[in-house]
Amino acid sequence: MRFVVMLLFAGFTGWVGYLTYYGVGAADTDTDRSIRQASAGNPIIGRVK
Amino acid sequence: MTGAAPQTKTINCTSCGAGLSVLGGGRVRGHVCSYCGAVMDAHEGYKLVQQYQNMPRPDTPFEIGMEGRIHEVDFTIIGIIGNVMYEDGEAYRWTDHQLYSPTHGYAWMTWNPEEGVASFTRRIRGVPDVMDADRVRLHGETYRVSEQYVSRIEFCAGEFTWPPKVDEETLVTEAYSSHYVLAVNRTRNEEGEDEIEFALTERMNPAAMQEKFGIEVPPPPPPSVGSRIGGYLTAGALTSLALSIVLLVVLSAMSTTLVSRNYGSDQGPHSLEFTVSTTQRLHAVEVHTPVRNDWAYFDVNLTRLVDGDEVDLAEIGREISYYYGGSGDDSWSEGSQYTSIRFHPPEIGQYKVEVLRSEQGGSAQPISISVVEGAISMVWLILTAVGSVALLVARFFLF
Repeated sequence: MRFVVMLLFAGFTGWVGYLTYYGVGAADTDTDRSIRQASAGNPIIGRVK
Repeated sequence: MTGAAPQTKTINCTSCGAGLSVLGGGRVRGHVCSYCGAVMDAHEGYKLVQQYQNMPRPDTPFEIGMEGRIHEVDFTIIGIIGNVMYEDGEAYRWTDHQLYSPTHGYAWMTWNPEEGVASFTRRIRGVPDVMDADRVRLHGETYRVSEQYVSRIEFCAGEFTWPPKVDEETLVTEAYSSHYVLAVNRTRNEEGEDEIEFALTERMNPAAMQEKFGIEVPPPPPPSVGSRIGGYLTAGALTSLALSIVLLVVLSAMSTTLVSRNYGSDQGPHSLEFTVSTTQRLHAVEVHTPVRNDWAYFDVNLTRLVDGDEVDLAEIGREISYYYGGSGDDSWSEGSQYTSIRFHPPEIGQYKVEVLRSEQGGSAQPISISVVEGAISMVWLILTAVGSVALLVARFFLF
């Protein structure tokens, strides 16, 4: 049981590490949105602050 | 139980007539009736010398007549004394058991149910050498004086080498070595003279001591549900904390600076090209200018280079401002000399970033620009580590 709990905690921390490694949720939201829009062929609307 | 049952002599209590076993040897002086509390003088034909009633029975699993083997010597419990001491208004109780061996004489076994401690004590003849105010030496061992207290008898039954008295007080001074406790016991006799005895005490395993005297020791109770959950949480939180720290170190070392350049104080635009080899990881354009009590505003254009053409991806405006003041405990600062723009590149390939200082408060400062692959935000890992520590702390309060 103790091993299972340790595994659960390790799994959670590993998942946080995965998110950190790939920068999930860490990008500037407006910059990312602008990049997605531009990549889709839409013109850039306004300056991102 | 060990050993064969001895042939016991019996007497009748001279107060209540109850039959009492005589288990001790010739040095037994006081015999206290377990039924009526009469104290008799064994050397004076069991003459009644005192009568006690309603003595509080001490908490002990041992009984008079039990036999056990300690250090390869067979002992019989011949008397029980309940003691109490007071410290800061709180009572501490323990039970002494007078032991007798026909071959090795008399000794004591002490039982402290509150602390779960058992000990074996022999009186010693030698006098310890006083080294200084805090230390004494005996048989090559150094003892450090630790505490002094007054113990008082509140219960007695059985046979003893002296006639015990309820409320009889002993001033005990204890000195500890790594193995033993040396006790100096000071009492006042009937003539009003101080009597000093030295005793050497050895701690014993309580369960082992019960087994020696044939008491069936119940197995330790299984840990409570709360204790088990607390143990699991501790193990989990420690795992999480250790892994968070490892990940913080490892991931910090896994960032790569793709390009970095320093520029003078001209406003730009300063242009850097870089190659993106993965779209999975976060990239960051980092701009630094050493403004002090000042600000500057930057226009950053991110462009993708496709077959010689430039495809605008984002136009970003960022202010850098840094102010500070005061000194010593009153020093303060706000803002930063850095800014970073974090993004996920849409595709692998060539990119360009242009940085223009479009506005500024005071004097123009040099600019540094870097592009980093694998930029990471540590906030979630740090929160996980902090959460693990909080769980460890909470575990001690909750379970």
